[in-house]
Amino acid sequence: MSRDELYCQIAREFGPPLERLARAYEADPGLRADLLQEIQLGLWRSVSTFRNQCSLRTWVYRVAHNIALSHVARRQRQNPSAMLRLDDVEPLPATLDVAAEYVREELLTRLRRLMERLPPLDRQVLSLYLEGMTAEEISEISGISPANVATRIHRAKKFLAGAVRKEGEHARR
Amino acid sequence: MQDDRTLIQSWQSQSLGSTIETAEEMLRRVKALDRRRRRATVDSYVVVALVFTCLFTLAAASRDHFMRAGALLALGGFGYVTYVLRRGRPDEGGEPEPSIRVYTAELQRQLGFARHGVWAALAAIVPGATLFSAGLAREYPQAAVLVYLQVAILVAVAAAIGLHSRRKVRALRGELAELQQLEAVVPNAHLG
Repeated sequence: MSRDELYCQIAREFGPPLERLARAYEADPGLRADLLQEIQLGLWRSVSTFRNQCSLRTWVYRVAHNIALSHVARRQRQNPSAMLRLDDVEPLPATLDVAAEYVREELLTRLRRLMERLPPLDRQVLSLYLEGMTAEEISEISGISPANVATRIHRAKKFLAGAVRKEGEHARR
Repeated sequence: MQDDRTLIQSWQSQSLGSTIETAEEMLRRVKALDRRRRRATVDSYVVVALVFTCLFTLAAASRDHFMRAGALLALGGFGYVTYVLRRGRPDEGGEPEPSIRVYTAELQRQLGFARHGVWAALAAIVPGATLFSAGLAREYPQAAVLVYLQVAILVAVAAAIGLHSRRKVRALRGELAELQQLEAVVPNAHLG
Protein backbone atom coordinates (compact mmCIF):
# COMPACT_ATOMS: atom_id res chain seq x y z
CA MET A 1 0.00 0.00 0.00
CA SER A 2 1.41 3.42 -0.97
CA ARG A 3 1.92 6.27 1.48
CA ASP A 4 -1.01 8.20 -0.01
CA GLU A 5 -3.32 5.19 0.18
CA LEU A 6 -2.37 4.48 3.78
CA TYR A 7 -2.93 8.12 4.75
CA CYS A 8 -6.32 8.12 2.99
CA GLN A 9 -7.26 4.97 4.90
CA ILE A 10 -6.30 6.71 8.16
CA ALA A 11 -8.26 9.84 7.16
CA ARG A 12 -11.35 7.77 6.31
CA GLU A 13 -11.25 5.56 9.41
CA PHE A 14 -10.04 8.03 11.99
CA GLY A 15 -11.14 11.48 10.75
CA PRO A 16 -14.01 12.04 13.23
CA PRO A 17 -12.29 10.21 16.16
CA LEU A 18 -9.23 12.45 15.71
CA GLU A 19 -11.48 15.52 15.78
CA ARG A 20 -12.97 14.30 19.05
CA LEU A 21 -9.47 13.62 20.36
CA ALA A 22 -8.50 17.22 19.54
CA ARG A 23 -11.68 18.35 21.32
CA ALA A 24 -10.65 16.42 24.42
CA TYR A 25 -7.31 18.25 24.52
CA GLU A 26 -8.19 21.77 23.34
CA ALA A 27 -11.33 23.78 24.08
CA ASP A 28 -10.50 26.86 21.99
CA PRO A 29 -11.84 26.29 18.44
CA GLY A 30 -9.00 28.15 16.70
CA LEU A 31 -6.27 26.36 18.63
CA ARG A 32 -8.16 23.09 18.20
CA ALA A 33 -8.05 23.51 14.41
CA ASP A 34 -4.28 24.11 14.67
CA LEU A 35 -3.87 21.03 16.86
CA LEU A 36 -5.87 18.89 14.44
CA GLN A 37 -3.75 20.18 11.58
CA GLU A 38 -0.56 19.29 13.47
CA ILE A 39 -1.92 15.80 14.13
CA GLN A 40 -2.81 15.30 10.46
CA LEU A 41 0.59 16.61 9.36
CA GLY A 42 2.39 14.44 11.93
CA LEU A 43 0.53 11.36 10.70
CA TRP A 44 1.22 12.18 7.04
CA ARG A 45 4.92 12.80 7.61
CA SER A 46 5.49 9.66 9.64
CA VAL A 47 3.01 7.27 8.02
CA SER A 48 5.82 5.68 5.99
CA THR A 49 7.49 4.62 9.25
CA PHE A 50 4.49 2.51 10.29
CA ARG A 51 5.86 -1.05 10.42
CA ASN A 52 2.85 -3.16 11.44
CA GLN A 53 4.42 -3.77 14.87
CA CYS A 54 1.06 -2.84 16.35
CA SER A 55 -2.37 -2.29 14.81
CA LEU A 56 -2.87 0.80 12.66
CA ARG A 57 -5.44 2.06 15.16
CA THR A 58 -3.00 1.78 18.08
CA TRP A 59 -0.29 3.58 16.09
CA VAL A 60 -2.58 6.39 14.93
CA TYR A 61 -3.90 7.04 18.43
CA ARG A 62 -0.42 6.90 19.98
CA VAL A 63 0.99 9.42 17.50
CA ALA A 64 -2.08 11.67 17.82
CA HIS A 65 -2.10 11.57 21.63
CA ASN A 66 1.61 12.34 21.83
CA ILE A 67 1.20 15.37 19.53
CA ALA A 68 -1.77 16.48 21.65
CA LEU A 69 0.24 16.02 24.86
CA SER A 70 3.04 18.22 23.46
CA HIS A 71 0.36 20.79 22.68
CA VAL A 72 -0.93 20.59 26.27
CA ALA A 73 2.60 21.14 27.63
CA ARG A 74 3.01 24.25 25.48
CA ARG A 75 -0.41 25.59 26.48
CA GLN A 76 0.17 24.80 30.15
CA ARG A 77 3.35 26.89 30.08
CA GLN A 78 1.66 29.80 28.31
CA ASN A 79 -1.48 29.66 30.40
CA PRO A 80 -0.93 27.65 33.61
CA SER A 81 -4.07 26.21 35.17
CA ALA A 82 -4.57 23.78 38.01
CA MET A 83 -5.34 20.22 36.93
CA LEU A 84 -7.83 18.03 38.70
CA ARG A 85 -7.23 14.38 39.57
CA LEU A 86 -10.12 12.00 38.99
CA ASP A 87 -9.75 10.97 42.64
CA ASP A 88 -10.64 14.48 43.70
CA VAL A 89 -13.81 15.08 41.68
CA GLU A 90 -17.26 14.72 43.19
CA PRO A 91 -19.87 12.69 41.25
CA LEU A 92 -22.26 14.86 39.26
CA PRO A 93 -25.64 15.38 40.94
CA ALA A 94 -28.56 13.87 38.98
CA THR A 95 -30.84 16.86 39.29
CA LEU A 96 -31.44 17.87 35.69
CA ASP A 97 -35.10 17.99 34.76
CA VAL A 98 -35.38 19.20 31.19
CA ALA A 99 -35.70 17.76 27.68
CA ALA A 100 -33.52 14.75 26.82
CA GLU A 101 -31.61 16.61 24.12
CA TYR A 102 -30.74 19.34 26.56
CA VAL A 103 -29.58 16.75 29.08
CA ARG A 104 -27.37 15.14 26.44
CA GLU A 105 -25.84 18.53 25.62
CA GLU A 106 -25.41 19.23 29.31
CA LEU A 107 -23.69 15.88 29.75
CA LEU A 108 -21.33 16.61 26.86
CA THR A 109 -20.58 20.08 28.19
CA ARG A 110 -19.71 18.68 31.59
CA LEU A 111 -17.67 15.91 30.04
CA ARG A 112 -15.69 18.44 27.97
CA ARG A 113 -15.14 20.67 30.99
CA LEU A 114 -13.93 17.69 32.97
CA MET A 115 -11.57 16.70 30.14
CA GLU A 116 -10.09 20.19 30.03
CA ARG A 117 -9.18 19.99 33.71
CA LEU A 118 -7.85 16.46 33.84
CA PRO A 119 -4.14 15.67 33.90
CA PRO A 120 -2.87 14.36 30.54
CA LEU A 121 -2.84 10.66 31.37
CA ASP A 122 -6.42 10.66 32.72
CA ARG A 123 -7.47 12.68 29.68
CA GLN A 124 -5.83 10.15 27.38
CA VAL A 125 -7.51 7.19 29.11
CA LEU A 126 -10.95 8.80 29.25
CA SER A 127 -10.94 9.95 25.61
CA LEU A 128 -9.89 6.46 24.44
CA TYR A 129 -12.58 4.88 26.61
CA LEU A 130 -15.16 7.18 25.04
CA GLU A 131 -14.01 5.97 21.62
CA GLY A 132 -15.21 2.54 22.72
CA MET A 133 -11.83 0.97 23.38
CA THR A 134 -11.25 -1.87 25.83
CA ALA A 135 -8.87 -1.57 28.79
CA GLU A 136 -6.36 -3.78 26.91
CA GLU A 137 -6.41 -1.51 23.84
CA ILE A 138 -6.05 1.61 25.99
CA SER A 139 -3.20 -0.06 27.83
CA GLU A 140 -1.39 -0.74 24.54
CA ILE A 141 -1.72 2.90 23.44
CA SER A 142 -0.96 4.62 26.74
CA GLY A 143 1.55 2.15 28.16
CA ILE A 144 -0.10 1.80 31.57
CA SER A 145 -1.33 -1.57 32.85
CA PRO A 146 -4.88 -2.75 32.01
CA ALA A 147 -5.67 -2.82 35.75
CA ASN A 148 -4.58 0.80 36.11
CA VAL A 149 -6.66 1.72 33.04
CA ALA A 150 -9.69 -0.04 34.55
CA THR A 151 -9.28 1.89 37.82
CA ARG A 152 -9.11 5.22 36.01
CA ILE A 153 -12.15 4.38 33.88
CA HIS A 154 -14.06 3.34 36.98
CA ARG A 155 -13.33 6.70 38.62
CA ALA A 156 -14.40 8.60 35.49
CA LYS A 157 -17.61 6.58 35.21
CA LYS A 158 -18.43 7.21 38.85
CA PHE A 159 -18.08 10.92 38.24
CA LEU A 160 -20.34 10.88 35.20
CA ALA A 161 -22.87 8.30 36.41
CA GLY A 162 -25.41 10.75 37.80
CA ALA A 163 -25.91 12.73 34.62
CA VAL A 164 -25.99 9.60 32.44
CA ARG A 165 -28.70 7.99 34.62
CA LYS A 166 -30.82 11.08 34.32
CA GLU A 167 -30.52 11.06 30.55
CA GLY A 168 -31.58 7.39 30.49
CA GLU A 169 -34.72 8.27 32.47
CA HIS A 170 -35.61 10.99 29.97
CA ALA A 171 -35.08 8.61 27.06
CA ARG A 172 -37.53 6.10 28.58
CA ARG A 173 -40.29 8.70 29.13
CA MET B 1 -23.74 -1.17 30.74
CA GLN B 2 -26.62 0.99 29.51
CA ASP B 3 -24.92 3.99 31.15
CA ASP B 4 -21.67 3.16 29.37
CA ARG B 5 -23.33 2.96 25.98
CA THR B 6 -25.21 6.23 26.53
CA LEU B 7 -22.02 7.98 27.51
CA ILE B 8 -20.02 6.61 24.59
CA GLN B 9 -22.83 7.31 22.11
CA SER B 10 -23.17 10.89 23.36
CA TRP B 11 -19.45 11.46 23.01
CA GLN B 12 -19.18 9.91 19.56
CA SER B 13 -22.25 11.63 18.13
CA GLN B 14 -21.30 15.12 19.32
CA SER B 15 -21.28 17.85 16.73
CA LEU B 16 -17.89 19.51 16.41
CA GLY B 17 -18.99 22.11 13.89
CA SER B 18 -16.19 21.32 11.47
CA THR B 19 -16.58 20.97 7.71
CA ILE B 20 -16.70 17.40 6.47
CA GLU B 21 -13.81 16.58 4.16
CA THR B 22 -13.22 13.46 2.13
CA ALA B 23 -9.99 11.52 2.67
CA GLU B 24 -8.71 12.78 -0.69
CA GLU B 25 -9.40 16.41 0.28
CA MET B 26 -7.59 15.87 3.58
CA LEU B 27 -4.65 14.35 1.72
CA ARG B 28 -4.47 17.35 -0.65
CA ARG B 29 -4.62 19.79 2.25
CA VAL B 30 -1.99 18.04 4.33
CA LYS B 31 0.33 17.73 1.32
CA ALA B 32 -0.02 21.45 0.62
CA LEU B 33 0.77 22.22 4.27
CA ASP B 34 3.77 19.90 4.18
CA ARG B 35 5.03 21.62 1.00
CA ARG B 36 4.63 25.06 2.62
CA ARG B 37 6.61 23.98 5.69
CA ARG B 38 9.34 22.40 3.59
CA ARG B 39 9.52 25.45 1.32
CA ALA B 40 10.57 27.53 4.32
CA THR B 41 13.56 25.20 4.79
CA VAL B 42 14.45 25.39 1.07
CA ASP B 43 14.19 29.20 1.23
CA SER B 44 16.64 29.28 4.13
CA TYR B 45 19.12 27.20 2.10
CA VAL B 46 18.77 29.65 -0.81
CA VAL B 47 19.51 32.56 1.55
CA VAL B 48 22.58 30.74 2.90
CA ALA B 49 23.83 30.08 -0.66
CA LEU B 50 23.31 33.73 -1.65
CA VAL B 51 25.12 35.04 1.44
CA PHE B 52 28.04 32.67 0.81
CA THR B 53 28.27 33.71 -2.85
CA CYS B 54 28.08 37.37 -1.91
CA LEU B 55 30.80 37.12 0.77
CA PHE B 56 33.05 35.05 -1.48
CA THR B 57 32.69 37.54 -4.35
CA LEU B 58 33.45 40.45 -2.00
CA ALA B 59 36.52 38.66 -0.64
CA ALA B 60 37.78 37.92 -4.15
CA ALA B 61 37.06 41.37 -5.60
CA SER B 62 38.33 43.54 -2.73
CA ARG B 63 41.64 45.33 -3.04
CA ASP B 64 41.75 46.41 0.59
CA HIS B 65 43.32 43.84 2.95
CA PHE B 66 40.86 44.66 5.75
CA MET B 67 37.89 44.15 3.44
CA ARG B 68 39.28 40.87 2.13
CA ALA B 69 40.14 39.53 5.60
CA GLY B 70 36.77 40.72 6.96
CA ALA B 71 34.83 39.00 4.17
CA LEU B 72 36.77 35.76 4.70
CA LEU B 73 36.24 35.92 8.48
CA ALA B 74 32.51 36.60 8.01
CA LEU B 75 32.34 33.71 5.52
CA GLY B 76 33.86 31.38 8.13
CA GLY B 77 31.59 32.77 10.83
CA PHE B 78 28.51 32.33 8.70
CA GLY B 79 29.53 28.75 7.88
CA TYR B 80 29.92 28.07 11.60
CA VAL B 81 26.48 29.53 12.35
CA THR B 82 24.88 27.40 9.61
CA TYR B 83 26.56 24.31 11.08
CA VAL B 84 25.45 25.14 14.64
CA LEU B 85 21.86 25.71 13.54
CA ARG B 86 21.71 22.38 11.69
CA ARG B 87 23.63 20.32 14.27
CA GLY B 88 21.67 17.73 16.24
CA ARG B 89 18.31 18.25 14.57
CA PRO B 90 16.05 15.35 15.60
CA ASP B 91 14.96 14.74 12.01
CA GLU B 92 18.51 14.13 10.77
CA GLY B 93 18.41 10.84 8.89
CA GLY B 94 14.68 10.76 8.16
CA GLU B 95 11.38 12.00 9.54
CA PRO B 96 10.91 10.71 13.12
CA GLU B 97 7.56 9.52 14.41
CA PRO B 98 6.04 12.30 16.49
CA SER B 99 6.47 11.64 20.18
CA ILE B 100 7.07 13.67 23.29
CA ARG B 101 10.67 12.45 23.32
CA VAL B 102 11.30 13.77 19.79
CA TYR B 103 9.65 17.09 20.65
CA THR B 104 11.68 17.32 23.88
CA ALA B 105 14.91 16.65 21.96
CA GLU B 106 14.07 19.47 19.52
CA LEU B 107 13.34 21.89 22.39
CA GLN B 108 16.60 20.89 24.11
CA ARG B 109 18.49 21.62 20.90
CA GLN B 110 16.81 25.04 20.68
CA LEU B 111 17.63 25.65 24.36
CA GLY B 112 21.29 24.75 23.79
CA PHE B 113 21.47 27.26 20.94
CA ALA B 114 19.63 29.98 22.86
CA ARG B 115 21.93 29.53 25.90
CA HIS B 116 25.33 29.36 24.22
CA GLY B 117 24.94 29.23 20.45
CA VAL B 118 23.54 32.74 20.00
CA TRP B 119 26.56 34.40 21.59
CA ALA B 120 28.97 32.09 19.78
CA ALA B 121 27.22 32.89 16.49
CA LEU B 122 27.42 36.63 17.13
CA ALA B 123 31.08 36.29 18.14
CA ALA B 124 31.71 34.43 14.89
CA ILE B 125 30.05 36.97 12.59
CA VAL B 126 30.51 40.40 14.20
CA PRO B 127 34.37 40.64 14.05
CA GLY B 128 34.46 39.76 10.35
CA ALA B 129 31.64 42.18 9.56
CA THR B 130 33.36 44.95 11.58
CA LEU B 131 36.71 44.36 9.90
CA PHE B 132 35.04 44.37 6.51
CA SER B 133 33.28 47.64 7.34
CA ALA B 134 36.56 49.21 8.48
CA GLY B 135 38.13 48.23 5.16
CA LEU B 136 35.12 49.62 3.30
CA ALA B 137 35.40 52.93 5.14
CA ARG B 138 39.12 53.08 4.29
CA GLU B 139 38.43 52.30 0.64
CA TYR B 140 35.61 54.86 0.36
CA PRO B 141 36.33 57.68 2.89
CA GLN B 142 33.40 59.72 1.56
CA ALA B 143 31.00 56.98 2.75
CA ALA B 144 32.76 56.37 6.08
CA VAL B 145 30.01 57.93 8.22
CA LEU B 146 27.40 55.72 6.61
CA VAL B 147 29.56 52.62 7.04
CA TYR B 148 30.21 53.31 10.73
CA LEU B 149 26.51 53.96 11.24
CA GLN B 150 25.85 50.51 9.76
CA VAL B 151 28.38 48.98 12.15
CA ALA B 152 26.64 50.67 15.08
CA ILE B 153 23.30 49.29 13.92
CA LEU B 154 24.85 45.81 13.55
CA VAL B 155 26.18 45.91 17.11
CA ALA B 156 22.81 47.12 18.44
CA VAL B 157 20.97 44.34 16.59
CA ALA B 158 23.49 41.78 17.94
CA ALA B 159 22.87 43.01 21.50
CA ALA B 160 19.09 42.84 20.97
CA ILE B 161 19.37 39.27 19.67
CA GLY B 162 21.47 38.34 22.71
CA LEU B 163 18.93 39.84 25.11
CA HIS B 164 16.00 38.19 23.31
CA SER B 165 17.74 34.82 23.62
CA ARG B 166 17.62 35.13 27.44
CA ARG B 167 13.83 35.44 27.29
CA LYS B 168 13.70 32.51 24.91
CA VAL B 169 15.79 30.42 27.35
CA ARG B 170 13.25 31.06 30.12
CA ALA B 171 10.32 30.10 27.86
CA LEU B 172 12.03 26.93 26.62
CA ARG B 173 12.96 25.85 30.15
CA GLY B 174 9.32 26.23 31.24
CA GLU B 175 8.05 24.15 28.33
CA LEU B 176 10.72 21.48 28.86
CA ALA B 177 9.78 21.20 32.53
CA GLU B 178 6.15 20.58 31.49
CA LEU B 179 7.23 17.96 28.97
CA GLN B 180 9.50 16.19 31.44
CA GLN B 181 6.61 15.94 33.89
CA LEU B 182 4.51 14.46 31.11
CA GLU B 183 7.20 11.96 30.17
CA ALA B 184 7.34 10.88 33.79
CA VAL B 185 3.62 10.10 33.98
CA VAL B 186 2.77 8.96 30.43
CA PRO B 187 4.54 5.63 29.89
CA ASN B 188 4.30 5.60 26.07
CA ALA B 189 5.31 9.23 25.62
CA HIS B 190 8.50 8.15 23.85
CA LEU B 191 6.68 6.05 21.25
CA GLY B 192 5.25 7.27 17.99
